[in-house]
Amino acid sequence: MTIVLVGLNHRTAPVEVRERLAFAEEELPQALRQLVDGTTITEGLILSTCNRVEVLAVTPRAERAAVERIRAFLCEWHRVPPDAYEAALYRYVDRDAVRHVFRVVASLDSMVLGEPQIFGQVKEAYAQAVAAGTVGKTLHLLLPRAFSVAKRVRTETAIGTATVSISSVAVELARKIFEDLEGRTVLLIGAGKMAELTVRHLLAAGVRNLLISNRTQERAERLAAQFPAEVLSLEALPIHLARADIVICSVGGTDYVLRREQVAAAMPVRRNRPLFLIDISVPRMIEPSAGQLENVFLYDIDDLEQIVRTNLEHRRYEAARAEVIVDHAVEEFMASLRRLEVGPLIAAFRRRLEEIAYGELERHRRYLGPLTPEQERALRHLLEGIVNKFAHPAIARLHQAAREGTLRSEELNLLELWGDIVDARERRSSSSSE
Amino acid sequence: MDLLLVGALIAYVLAFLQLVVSVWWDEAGLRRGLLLLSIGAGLGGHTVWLVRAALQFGHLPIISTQEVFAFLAWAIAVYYLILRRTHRRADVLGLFVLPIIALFVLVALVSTGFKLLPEELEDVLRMPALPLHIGFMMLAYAGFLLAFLAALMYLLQERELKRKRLGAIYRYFPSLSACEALGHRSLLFGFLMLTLGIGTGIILLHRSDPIFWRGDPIIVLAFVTWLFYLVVVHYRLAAGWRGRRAAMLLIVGFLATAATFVSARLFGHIL
Repeated sequence: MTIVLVGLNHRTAPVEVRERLAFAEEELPQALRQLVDGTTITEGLILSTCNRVEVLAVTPRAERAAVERIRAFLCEWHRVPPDAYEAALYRYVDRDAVRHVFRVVASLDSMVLGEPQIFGQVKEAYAQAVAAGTVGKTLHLLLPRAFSVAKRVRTETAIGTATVSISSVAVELARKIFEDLEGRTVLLIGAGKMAELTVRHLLAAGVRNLLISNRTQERAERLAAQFPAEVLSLEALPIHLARADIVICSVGGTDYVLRREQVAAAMPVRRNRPLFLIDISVPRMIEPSAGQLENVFLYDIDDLEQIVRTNLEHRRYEAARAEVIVDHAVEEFMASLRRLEVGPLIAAFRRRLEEIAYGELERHRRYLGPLTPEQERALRHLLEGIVNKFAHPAIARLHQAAREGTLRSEELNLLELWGDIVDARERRSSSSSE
Repeated sequence: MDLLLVGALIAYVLAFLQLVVSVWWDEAGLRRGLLLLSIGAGLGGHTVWLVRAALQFGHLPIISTQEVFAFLAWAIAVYYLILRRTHRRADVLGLFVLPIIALFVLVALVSTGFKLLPEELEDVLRMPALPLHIGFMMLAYAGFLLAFLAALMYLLQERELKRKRLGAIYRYFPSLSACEALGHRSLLFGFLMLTLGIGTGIILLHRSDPIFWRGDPIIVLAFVTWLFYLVVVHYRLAAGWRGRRAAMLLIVGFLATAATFVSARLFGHIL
């Protein structure tokens, strides 16, 4: 049995290609059944998200045939010419395929390292494949293992902890200043895209009061229609500043919209409650020295980006630790997979030996004359004893090879010495897992 | 008898380690109950020890260095538990409070039980107002200590936020507003206890031999401390002093209180 994975992701293919090859959720059952033909592909799973399309399959045949089959399937299903997306496709076999699956589920292969959605997406794909009946014992071994590896990565490393977007960093900072955002007031100056996103994050975090102030009144009115907000003119800003706990400034212009004196004047009115100023406009529109005032915390776009970079750095550092966990898990999995495979091989080997022995017995039975039941039993014991003693060293070495993960050519030669004890199919699968 | 204190010490150390682990893994919710159990066990043993000491001597155990440290640690543990009940972010304060409690218990364990107070005070020790006075003062110290620690955490967190270099403090310490609230609550508690303690102290002074107390600098210092905290409380409540400068005041106030306490012990008087 060989595990094969063919797919493409955000690194190998642009979105136009990814969407062309993506599977809709409702077409998955049919696609899975078409993919798994029972001869070249015996088990299959399709993972289709906005960042990746991957086909994971198990084949009893040679890996090349399986890869060809999957590629042909992708092209047929999506009605694209063969070889159209050849360059975008990657293929992994056996150990590499296992490692890739583990890395994907643990979010080490994600666009945003450590993002948590992929775990649920793979779980969903697995459930779909189980429902479609395209999961056999190999994938039933692989996927649960991948989920437990991902959980280990999540608990033993801090890969998912640090926030990695400007707006979520802003919300986290606000939480470190105010603890609870419930009932806080946000003043939005300007109406940029990023500012709007940050406001959405803050509203989701419990902020209830929103003041919007913009040069062009109608832009502010339009935003105010989306959120329950109060619209202020830019001139009224200094008067209303004292009401705000968080100010998000994202406005164009040549002169500061908030000066240090204005901020300083607002503080006694606020009874010195902290004020969090976020200036994401370029050039900066809040006078930078306002950040030196007591209980005023001023962050500009560079400060926020610096934090995002540090957090990403942190995630990459944690990812390196996660890779070690994955490496270890891959080795463990390959060993259990080989144990799973070597069982049938040994059984076939023994069966063949017994067939030869009993075949010989039957062939010479007519010279033996009538046998008593005791004699019959003794003869069978004799043959079993010989078979066992002959088979033992070979079986022991196969077990050992499975444990250590090294099916050396000597072991295979040994098996071949016994003629076609194992059929060609099994011999190939054991040599490809070498 | 000391076995109880050793047990309490172990429980406090255990609680501290639990706290470190839960803060590190950021799953405070999961281990809060367990933490309470450890601190509760420590405090239980601690309380039994104090009660037994009081029964044995026939008065409150506040004479020897050992007893004073044990009592002080007990008051801090009691106030920490009170604060934990009323404020969910008080847990992290334990990172500082629990080692201090454990240290005081350890000092109590290793110090010899020599008497610091002159024999003439035996009468005072039997006065019924004394346990109240001592209890209030100890709780006042505990309140000011926690206010001091909360202020310290505030300043550290504020420095990190101002410098925009976000490290371990940013990650593990409570928010500014939580530190502020913890400090404020502890300040009010400490001030209330100090007021009650000084009130009962005046009754004690009134009843004991006036010649013994006359011109004692400790009493003056205690009043200065009280006035200082009165001003701080007033400005916080009336004028909305908060943030950095208010935190510094809490630190200065505590250091003054600690100085009063230490000199009281050095000069051999009860406070």
